[in-house]
Amino acid sequence: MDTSGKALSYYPGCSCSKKGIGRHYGFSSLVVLKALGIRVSEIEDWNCCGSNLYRVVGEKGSHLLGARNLAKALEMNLPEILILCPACFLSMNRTLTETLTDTKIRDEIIKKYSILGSPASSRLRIRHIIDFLVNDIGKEAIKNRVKRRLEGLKIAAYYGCQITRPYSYFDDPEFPTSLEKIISWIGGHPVESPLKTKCCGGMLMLTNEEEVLTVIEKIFNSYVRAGAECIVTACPLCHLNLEIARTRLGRRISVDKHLTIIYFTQLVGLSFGIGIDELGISKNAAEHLGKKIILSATI
Amino acid sequence: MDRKIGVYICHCGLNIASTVNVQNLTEFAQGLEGVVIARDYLYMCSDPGQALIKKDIKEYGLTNVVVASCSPTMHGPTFQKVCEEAGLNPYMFQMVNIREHVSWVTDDVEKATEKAKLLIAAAVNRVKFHEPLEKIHVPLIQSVLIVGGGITGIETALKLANSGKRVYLVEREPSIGGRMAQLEKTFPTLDCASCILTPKMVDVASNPNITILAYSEIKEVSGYIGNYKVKVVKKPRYVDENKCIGCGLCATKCPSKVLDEFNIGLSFRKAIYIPFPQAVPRKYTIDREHCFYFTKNICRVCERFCPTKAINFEQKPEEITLEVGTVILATGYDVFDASVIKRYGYGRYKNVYTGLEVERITSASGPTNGQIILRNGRTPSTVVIIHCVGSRDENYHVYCSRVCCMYAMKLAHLIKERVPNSTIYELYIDIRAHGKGYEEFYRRVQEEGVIFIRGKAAEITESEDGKLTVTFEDTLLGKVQQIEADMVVLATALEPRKDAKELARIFNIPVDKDGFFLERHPKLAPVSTVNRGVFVAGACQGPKDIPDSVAQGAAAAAEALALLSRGVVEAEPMIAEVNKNLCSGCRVCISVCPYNATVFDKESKTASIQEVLCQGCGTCVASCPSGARTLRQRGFTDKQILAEIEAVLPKRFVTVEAVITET
Amino acid sequence: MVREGFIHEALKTKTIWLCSTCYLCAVRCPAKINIGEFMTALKRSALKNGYSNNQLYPKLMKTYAEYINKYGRISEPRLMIKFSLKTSPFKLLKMIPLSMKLLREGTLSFSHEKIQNIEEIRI
Repeated sequence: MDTSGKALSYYPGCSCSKKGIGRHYGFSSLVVLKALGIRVSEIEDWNCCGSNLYRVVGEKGSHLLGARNLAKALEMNLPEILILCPACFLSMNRTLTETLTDTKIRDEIIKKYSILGSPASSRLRIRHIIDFLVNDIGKEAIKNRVKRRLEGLKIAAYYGCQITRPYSYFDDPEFPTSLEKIISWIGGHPVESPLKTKCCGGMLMLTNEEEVLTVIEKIFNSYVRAGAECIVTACPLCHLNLEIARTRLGRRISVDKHLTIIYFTQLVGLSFGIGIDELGISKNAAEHLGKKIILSATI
Repeated sequence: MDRKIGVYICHCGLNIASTVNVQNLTEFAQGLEGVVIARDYLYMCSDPGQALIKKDIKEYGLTNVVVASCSPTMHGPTFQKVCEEAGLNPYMFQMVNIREHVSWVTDDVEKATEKAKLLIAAAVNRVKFHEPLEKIHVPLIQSVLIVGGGITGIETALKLANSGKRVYLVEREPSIGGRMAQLEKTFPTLDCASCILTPKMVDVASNPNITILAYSEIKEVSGYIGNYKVKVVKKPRYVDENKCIGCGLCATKCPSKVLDEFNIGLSFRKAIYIPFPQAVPRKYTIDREHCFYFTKNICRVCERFCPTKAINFEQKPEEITLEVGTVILATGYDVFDASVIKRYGYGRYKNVYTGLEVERITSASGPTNGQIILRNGRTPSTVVIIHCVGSRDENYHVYCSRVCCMYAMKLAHLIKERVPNSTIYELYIDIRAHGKGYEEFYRRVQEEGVIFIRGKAAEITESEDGKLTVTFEDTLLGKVQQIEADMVVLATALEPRKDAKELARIFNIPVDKDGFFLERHPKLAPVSTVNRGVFVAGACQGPKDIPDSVAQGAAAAAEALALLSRGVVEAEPMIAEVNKNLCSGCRVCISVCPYNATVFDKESKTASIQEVLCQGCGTCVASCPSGARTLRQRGFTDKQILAEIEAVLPKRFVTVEAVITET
Repeated sequence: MVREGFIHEALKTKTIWLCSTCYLCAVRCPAKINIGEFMTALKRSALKNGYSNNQLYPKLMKTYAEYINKYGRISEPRLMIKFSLKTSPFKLLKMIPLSMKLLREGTLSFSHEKIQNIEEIRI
């Protein structure tokens, strides 16, 4: 697809913002998109999406959070919103679909943000970066930018649960293949775990640690069985949980402590020849990824 | 014309008389202009009541009869017959409903009587403008087309042929037999499917009244009930049917191997093939897409070896036009594609099978000669059969496919029989064992040691050695469990054929919400359709087992016979009529007709009504820009309708003469 | 349970707090029932009626809500610290190795941003 000149608004969410724990996901995504010629503009003064926690407090409140962000994107005249964090993706989609069709809540939202009642609001679209890369940018554009060979590195994707559920409009809800596509386009060798969309537990890591660690143990084991040499993630919370679990589970799992867990956009950036500082990859992680990548000749 | 109208008011016991003052009504009717006699009676529809009317028609020389009683759908035809028997044209009659529309909707005697008076006055006024009409008679061609040569089509064909009708049986595959030919055993009797099917197939072939058109498809249909013209395309086998003796030598020599669709891709056949050993007609067919001559321009070995020189690569498709009186569709079903339910791993994991695949595996003429051997060459010791795959699921098919519980049990029995040491589990939600002997079969299978667990399987994952882990909740125990299985069988749903919709369009019948052919009434008319000349039978109308399919086949045959044996079909005459002198040929009426009954007559450049097809809906009449003088409906002319209205309105509003401009 | 009237028993369970709203149930359910949404509704109902079964989730939720109403955005490290202080301060010690790792990676930050017009999101 010809995406030259395409512009989107960007909603980082608390985790992927400059000060969030998933900031490297944010940085690497922006840098990759820049390399692909896409302009993104961060929504001004965005607020937290509320994710699933705030929703328990109250439906109306959580919709107000999302609505404010949608209104701001419309005001910028960039109704296509790029999102990285799956929880934000879910929350904003929920506000967009349910709010703008459910009459009771819709009326209250529009009272506060009248722009959401205008005809322009029908142009609002929530785009996950994976969806955008696979369906808008496409194979050729990505392949053309690859400068470093990944030497057949066995890369497994861990999607987590909220990218394709319940809003599965760009891929299968249980067995998506978008990341595997991207991995093969950048020259990696994709391997699959049947648990690639199994929930990592999310916030429950803080409240029910033991139960969550039992599940993540199974997830890690399935990746080891699949022969993964590197796991790419697309969610800051999954990323964090995997790292916490790796330490806490210790010897219970046979995960090679050199197994790298990085965000998929960091890997894509690496294959584009972008430096590890810009991508937020630590020297440690870079070394463990395999000397093959860093030192291999650029194409 | 001088009208002599007789008005008959029915008490209907107390049904009408308790709310309507029938005496008052009769006096009122007698006083209406044109009415020579008005009577009331306890039960007008009874024999004495009917006799009253007949006597009056003769004595008074009545020109019209009005009966005020129940709904026309109840006794309209009764009184029409009375008129006819007394020598009066039945369309000079009008029925007034003073029961459902008057006495059954109010308790107020005054209001009821008042309304009844108005309704009778309206009918009397209307009837002055009635003209005698004649029913339309269309002769019926005494032959039947049956589309689909499975067990249902076969049954229907035999019944019709044995009653002397000419039958054309069109079948898409190279042989008749359908799905039943793919089965090994049938539940609950465990009859060998082929053993009970093949004699019928042979009967069909040898019956002089049946013409089998195998390897053929329906291209186009035109005409109407009793007179259908069907274009059938006979696909080229590239084998001369008159010369082929079915010896099979060609197939032994053919070098091209193709995945055998009869065995659901579990084995190979040759490019020149017969679908199964008992095929009828037993003629070989060359699969053009895989034949080396057609694809690579080499080979032709079959031609060299054929002892009767039956191979003919020049054969062309043949178009045959059939003229038939009625059509019966018996096209059967397709199997749900389980690969869309990704968490069951069908298509990804080697040892996950569908029910039909296992059916072929258990068959002695199947890919493994009846032995239970998996794709990895091993014999399974633990088998899990999962029910409701694609059925009873809002995400795929909402309906229950009716036969899967039973065939799942049958497969369990067959596997247990061949592998006595195996452990077989059935994961179900509900067991549907509705037919005769079905519950007993369920018990028998349990006694044979098959374990039934209530809980739908959640997912299947594969371990390194190819073993399948099935996760489910045993809902009766309230525990989440896992079974390590060697083989998983999915009891997949039945769905309509992929091209069912297209076929329905060709024959002008609707499909239901799930894509099956729509019956006229789900309870009382399961094999008829809204198209009076087309019937449906078997699984193409909805998932069902063999006994029900056979019963429906016989029912459809009876319907067809009932239609054909009359020799003519009668159509109601209250249809549209074109005044050709006034028609400007604008064709608006043609574009609005839902029954394609109106056509453009190129010679006179006017619209023409095909009387048999017209259902009298009135749409064209309303649409005609030239007005009712040009296009009108018999029995519903402007004069008649306005006369009714005039009688109901208070006199000060309108008179008939002022409004009507008809000549 | 709820359909048959065992509402209190349902709200007292641990189950509703273990749901992470991954929506696997909703995607698979043949009756297209959104069980995850139902669990969220039960969580809400439980809190309204004072049931928490000594689960930690309600406290996490309250902390989260407080931050949103105060700042409009979340700082995860701050959230985790405040939550741990509220529930079991001992856990903070466990978090030290993790904090070191995050610091090394450059993803640890305690600064708190506040959005303008915070009243817009307060109910």
